[in-house]
Amino acid sequence: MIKYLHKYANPNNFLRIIRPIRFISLYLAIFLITCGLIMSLFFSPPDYQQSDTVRIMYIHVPSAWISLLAYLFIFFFSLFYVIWKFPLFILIAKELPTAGVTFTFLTLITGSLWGKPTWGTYWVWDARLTSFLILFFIYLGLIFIEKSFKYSTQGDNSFAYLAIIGGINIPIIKFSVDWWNTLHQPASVIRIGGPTISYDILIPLLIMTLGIMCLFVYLTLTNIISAINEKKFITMIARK
Amino acid sequence: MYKIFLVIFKKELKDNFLNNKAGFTIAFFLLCLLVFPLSFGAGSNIQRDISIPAIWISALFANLISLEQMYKEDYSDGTLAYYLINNIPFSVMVYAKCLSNWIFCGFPIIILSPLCLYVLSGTSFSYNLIITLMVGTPMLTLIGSPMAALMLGSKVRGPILTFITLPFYFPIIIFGVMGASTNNYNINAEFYLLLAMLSIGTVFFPLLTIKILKNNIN
Repeated sequence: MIKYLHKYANPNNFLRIIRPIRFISLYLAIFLITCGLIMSLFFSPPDYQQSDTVRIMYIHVPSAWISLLAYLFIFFFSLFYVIWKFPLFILIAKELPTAGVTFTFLTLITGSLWGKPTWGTYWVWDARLTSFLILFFIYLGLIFIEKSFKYSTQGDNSFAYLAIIGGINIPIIKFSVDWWNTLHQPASVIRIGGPTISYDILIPLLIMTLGIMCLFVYLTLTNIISAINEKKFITMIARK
Repeated sequence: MYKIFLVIFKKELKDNFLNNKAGFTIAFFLLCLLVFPLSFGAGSNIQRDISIPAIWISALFANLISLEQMYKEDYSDGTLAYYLINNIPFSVMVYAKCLSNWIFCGFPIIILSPLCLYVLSGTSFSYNLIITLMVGTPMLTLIGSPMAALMLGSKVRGPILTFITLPFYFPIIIFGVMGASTNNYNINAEFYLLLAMLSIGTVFFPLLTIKILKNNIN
């Protein structure tokens, strides 16, 4: 298995497999997001307490999951780079924060819009919200550190180590609703003992999640392809 | 090993003293503290409530400012490369650096804090403030040391170093201010939590710093 995967460590081979994946994920994302939006806006039932404002959830929850997933990817790719010194890993990890920061921002905006009708405020200094805001700033720090070391390999190590140190925030975000008694509701889908929400709401939510995940894959792969081409261009110039 | 530690520690103390780094950090701390009474107006009630957070915030920014100097000169004049070539253990060097940095940037703040508290709010001595500062300021230095090592190769070091370090200071300032603001003299939960962070950080952050420094020098 590992021998089979080793072939794709070469950026050219890697490019060959990610180009079709990128196209498939674009069309899949358009299809799934359209389906999910139609289902969530017209066919899913309104909540008995929050009525129609519950529909913000279909954007808010998937983008929150994706922004955490993006950070996990950055964390593990950086860890693998630090352990095995594989240039492709850090190349992938460096392209992820741009998509991650977008989804984090989207989560914060939709969350505060949802907070106004249900909690009565746009923002409270609750543990979950604060730790998510810190995630946003860690993403920004990763982007800035990447930009400040442009075109040198020394930046790769700095980026990887900062991503590893910042990984401590992820368990804090996940468990903040369990550890502190907060206004934000505890986990209701990914929890021990199965989801507690109704299937009428869960199915559109999962479809939206898949769609937004495909969108994330599309955006990231586009960035990775352009980064590989940029690297190729720089080495071509250096050789001449 | 102990001898090497003493030699490096003496060198660091001398460097810090001659560079006037201690004077700069403490002056910055006092200047930062001046912002709070000026912005709230003299004699208002808010000023009394805000005095402990004000001292903590000033200590945090003074530590942030001092971080940039931590490895910069030794990196640029080749002392770190010299340590690496001569097989001088980096662990000793990093601990000596952290300790000397704390002696010049954390310890004077603890000494000055009762006076600052008196000038700011007029209330007398607070044990909680001194205890939390005693546990919190070494932690600020320890968190800062891998961050200072991260930015060594970069041209634009200062502003980005401040930006990437500040998010990791948040837990310290949250629990520090919570622990210092309570009025009862019983030792409370925040203090235990800060001590736990310090005891993990004393081992973990210098280890990370050694890894990063060795990567950056090569």
